Amino acid sequence: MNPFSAPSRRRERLIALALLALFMFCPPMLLIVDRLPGLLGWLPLYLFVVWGALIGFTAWLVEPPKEP
Amino acid sequence: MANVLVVDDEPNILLSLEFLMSHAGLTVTTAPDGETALLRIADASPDLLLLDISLPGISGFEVLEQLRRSESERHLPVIMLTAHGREVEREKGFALGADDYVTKPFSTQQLVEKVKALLAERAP
Amino acid sequence: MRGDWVVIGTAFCYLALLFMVAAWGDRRAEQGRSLIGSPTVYALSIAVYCTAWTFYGSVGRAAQYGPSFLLIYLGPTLAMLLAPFTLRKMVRIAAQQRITSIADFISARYGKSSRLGALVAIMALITITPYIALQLKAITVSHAVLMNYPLGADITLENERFWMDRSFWIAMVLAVFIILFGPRHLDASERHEGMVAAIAVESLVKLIAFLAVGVFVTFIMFAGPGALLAEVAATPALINSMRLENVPGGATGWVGMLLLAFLAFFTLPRQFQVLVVENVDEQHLHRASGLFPLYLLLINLFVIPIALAGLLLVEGDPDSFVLTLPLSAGLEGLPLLVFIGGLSAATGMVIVETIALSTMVSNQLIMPLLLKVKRLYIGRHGRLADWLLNIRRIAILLILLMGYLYHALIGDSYSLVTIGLVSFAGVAQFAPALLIGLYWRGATRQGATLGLLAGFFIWFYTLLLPGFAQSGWLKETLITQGPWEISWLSPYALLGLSGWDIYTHSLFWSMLVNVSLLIGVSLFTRPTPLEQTQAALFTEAMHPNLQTTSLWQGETTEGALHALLIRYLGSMATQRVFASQTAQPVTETDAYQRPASKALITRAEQSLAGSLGSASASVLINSVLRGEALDVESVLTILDTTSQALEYNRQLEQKSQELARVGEELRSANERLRELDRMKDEFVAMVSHELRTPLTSIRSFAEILRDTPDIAADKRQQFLSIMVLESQRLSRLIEEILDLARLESGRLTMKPVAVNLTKLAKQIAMPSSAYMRRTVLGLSFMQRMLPPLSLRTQTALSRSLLTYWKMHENLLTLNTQR
Repeated sequence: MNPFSAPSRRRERLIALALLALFMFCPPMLLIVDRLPGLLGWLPLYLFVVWGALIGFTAWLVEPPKEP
Repeated sequence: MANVLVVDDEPNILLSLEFLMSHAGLTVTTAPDGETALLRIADASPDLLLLDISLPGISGFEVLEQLRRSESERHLPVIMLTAHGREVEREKGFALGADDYVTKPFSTQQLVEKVKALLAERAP
Repeated sequence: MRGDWVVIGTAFCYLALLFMVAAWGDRRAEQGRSLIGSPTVYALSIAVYCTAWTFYGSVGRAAQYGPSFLLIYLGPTLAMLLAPFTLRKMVRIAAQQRITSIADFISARYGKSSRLGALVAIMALITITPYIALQLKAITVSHAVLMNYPLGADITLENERFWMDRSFWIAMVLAVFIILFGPRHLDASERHEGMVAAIAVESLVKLIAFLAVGVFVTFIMFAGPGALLAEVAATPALINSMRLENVPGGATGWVGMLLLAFLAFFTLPRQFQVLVVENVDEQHLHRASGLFPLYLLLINLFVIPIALAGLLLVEGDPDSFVLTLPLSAGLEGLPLLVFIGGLSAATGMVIVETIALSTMVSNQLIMPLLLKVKRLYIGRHGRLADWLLNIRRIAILLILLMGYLYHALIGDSYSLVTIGLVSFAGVAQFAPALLIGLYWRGATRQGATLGLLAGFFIWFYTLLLPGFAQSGWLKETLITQGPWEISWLSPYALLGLSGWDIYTHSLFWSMLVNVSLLIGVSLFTRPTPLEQTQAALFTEAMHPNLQTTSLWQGETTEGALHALLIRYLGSMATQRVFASQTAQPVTETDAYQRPASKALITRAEQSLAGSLGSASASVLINSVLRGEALDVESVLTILDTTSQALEYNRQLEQKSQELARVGEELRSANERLRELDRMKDEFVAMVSHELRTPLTSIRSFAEILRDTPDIAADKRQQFLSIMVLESQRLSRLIEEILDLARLESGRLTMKPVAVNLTKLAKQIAMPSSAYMRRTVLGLSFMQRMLPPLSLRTQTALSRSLLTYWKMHENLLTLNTQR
C-alpha cells in the first residue's frame, strides 16, 4: 500500500495528535503552566484552550476529503 | 564579361574568393552579409551568386529563398558555400533551388570550374 | 409553585416523553427508517457517560479539588482520539460475532469461555451497583434540596421505613420504565434503537439545563466571568483553588486519574453498550471522535464559574451548588429545569447500565447454569425464548433493588464523585484483558482470568474495603494501622507506598498485578484450539479479506437445528435464520433427514450468540452436532494463509511501485542521455565549423599561390601573412578545445587574472548586436548602466568565452534557420 495514501496518512496524523494531546495534558506542561505568574493561576484556561484546539484538529483530520 | 557576387562574412575567405574570380576573368562584387547581398543583387544584377550559408542577420538560405520568389532574379545561378558538412543542409540547399553546393575548405580549381561551367550553361 | 406534586408531575411527564421518544424510535426502526443513523445521535448517545455524577458532582469536585474534575473528561477525549483504531476494531468484531456485552466480548475473545464471561459479569455487577446507587442518591438528594430549600437536605434514611423512602420508589419507577422499553427483543446484539434515541434526547436535555445554570450564574448573578474572577481574587481563601496543588496526589494523582478515565471509558458496561453494541455504522466513529469531546467540553465549560460562585455565595454541600445557586436567587423555573437535567443524567445512566447488566446476567450467569441442568434443554418443548426475556426483566428489577440497598446501607458516607471513581477503578480491571487481547494473539484464557481476579481483589482491598470501614462496618484502624496492625498491608499505603491519592494508588497496584499476570501466565500456558481461533479472529479483525469462515465441521440435520432454534429463540427468529434457505418449505419428516449446510450452522450459531451469548451458543450447537465439531486446524490455516497472502500482496504492490519508479527514472535518464547526445552532435558540428573557417582561408590562399606563380609580390606577402594568421587562429582553437577537455576532466588548474568584464561584454555584444536586434532572443546591453566591472579569470578562459559566444551565435543562426 502506498504509505502516502489518504487513510494511512490519516492514521499516522491521528496517532501523532493523540501523543501531542497526551503530552499537553501531562505534568511537565502542567507544572510549567501552573507556575506562570498570575493571581488565580492559568491552569483551567490552558486546559480548556488546548482541549478546544484538540477537538478542532480532530474534526479537521477525521472529516473525509470532499473530493474522492 | 560575367559578373559574380560573392557573399561571405569571413573577410579572408571573401578576399581569396574575390582574387580567384577576378583571376578567372570575371567581374566581382562582394557582400559581407545577407542584407547587403540582396541590395547588391538589386543594383548590380550579377550573373552568378557564390553564397555562404552562415551569415549574420538573414542567412544564406533566406537570401536564396527570397531570390527564388522574386520575379526578376528567379533564374540567377547560385552556388552555396558551407562550413557545415551535414547532409541535411545540402538537401535543404538543393530543395530551395541552389544550383550547386560546395563544402569548405574547397578546392579552388574545382570551384572555378564549377563557376565557369554554370556561366557557360546559362549563357545564351 | 414548588409544590411536591408539581415537581413529581413534571418528572413523570418527562419520563413519559422519554418513553414516547423510545417507542417512536422503535417503530421507526421496525419500518426500516432508523432515527439513530447519524453520527450526531451516536455522539449524543455516548454522552450517557455524563451521569448525575457529572451534573452535580463535577461542581462539587471542582469546589474541593480544583481542576482535577476535568481529568474525568480528558481521558475519554484521548480515548475518542484513538477511536478509529481501537473502537473501530471492537465494533467490527462485535458485528461479526454478534457480541451482546463486554462480558460476552471478553468471554468470546478467550475461547468463548463461559466461566470467564460469568466472572466478568459478576465483577461488573459488584462495581456498577454502587454507581447505580449513586444515581438514585442524586435524584433523591436533588429532590430534597429542591423541596426543603433553604433548609438543609439532610435526609436521614435510618429513621424511616423503606416504603417511606423516596429512593426506593424512584428505583421501582425506573425499573418499571426500563422493563417497559428495554428488552423487547431477545436478540441483545440487535440495536435498542428506541433506547438510543431516548438517551440522545436525555443528553441534549442535561446539556441545555447545565448550560442554562452556567449562563445564569455567570452572566446574571455576576456581571460576566470578569466580575466573578475579580470577586474570587478578592477572597484570599479561594485564590489558590484552581491550582495544581489542590489536585489530590499532585502531578502523580493527575496522571493516575487521566489513565483511570481513559481505561474506564472503554470498559464501563454502559459505554461498551452504546459505543460498540449499539453502533449502527463504523463510519460514525470518525465524526463522533470530534463531536463527543466537544459535548464534554461544553458541559464542563461552566463548572468552574458555578463552583467559584457557589463557594462565594452559598453555604452547604458543593454537590448541590447547581441547584442551590438558582434557588438562592429566588428563581422557580430554573431549579426545576436543573432538577430535570439531573434526572436526565441519572436516568440515562441507569437505563443503559441496567440493560447492559441484565443482558450479562441472563447470558453470562443464568444461561450457562440453565444449560448445565440437562432436564431443561433436552427435555420439554417449553418456550425458553419467553423465559429468557423474563429473566432479563427480573434481573433489571434486582439490579435496581441492589442499587437501592447499597444506597440505603452505605451510600451516605461517600460523596458523589468518590463512588463514581471507585466504580471507575473497578471496571478498569477489564481493560488489560480487553485491550491487550485485541492486539496480542498470545493472550490466553488462564492469563486473563488470573489477571482479572488478582486485579479485582486488589481493587476490592484498596478501595472498596476502606469504603466499608468509613461507613462504620469495619474498624477505622483497618485504614490507619492496617489489618492486625501490620502497617505495610494498610489498604491506602500498600507496601508503604504512601503519599499518592487513593485512586492512583489502587490503580497502580491493581494494574501492575493484572497486566503482569495476564502477560506472564499467557506466556506459560497453552491455549485450546478454539481459543487460538478466536484470538486470531479478534486480532486480525481489521483484515479486509477476513470473513467469519464456517467453523463447524460436524454433521447435523436441518430438523435438529430447527428444533433447537425454535426452543431457544422462538419461531420468528428461527424463520429468519431459515429464510435464506432456497428450498421451499418441506414436511417435517423431510427436513429432519436433510443435512444442514455449514452456512446454515454458522447462521444458527450467530443467531443464538446474539441472544444467549457466544459461550452458550457454542455449547448449544455442539449439543446437536455429530462428529468432530470444530475444524479448528483448518480455520487457523485459512486465517494464517489469508494474512500471509495479504502480506505478500502488500509486498508485491510495494515492489511493483518500486519498479514503476525505477522505470520512470530510467526513462528520464534516457531522455537526458539523448539530449546530451544531441548536444554533443551540435557541439561537434560547431567545432568543425569553427575549424573549417580558418582552414578554408589557408587552403584557398595556398592553392592560389601554387596555381598563380606570377602573382605580385605584395599580394603574395599579404596572402602568406593571412595564411600565418589563420594557422595561428587554428592552433589557438585547438588549444582551447583541449583546454575545455581538461576543464571538464578537472585537470586544468586555474590561474586567475583580472579581466575587464565590461570590455569583454562589449566585445561579445558588438559583432552581433545588429543581428540581435532582429531576433526574439534579444540582448540588451546598457553600457552606461554597467559599472566598470572586473573579474579575475584566466586569459585562456576569457578567450574561450569569446569562442563560446561565437559558437553560440552560430547556433542561434541555425536555430532561426530551422
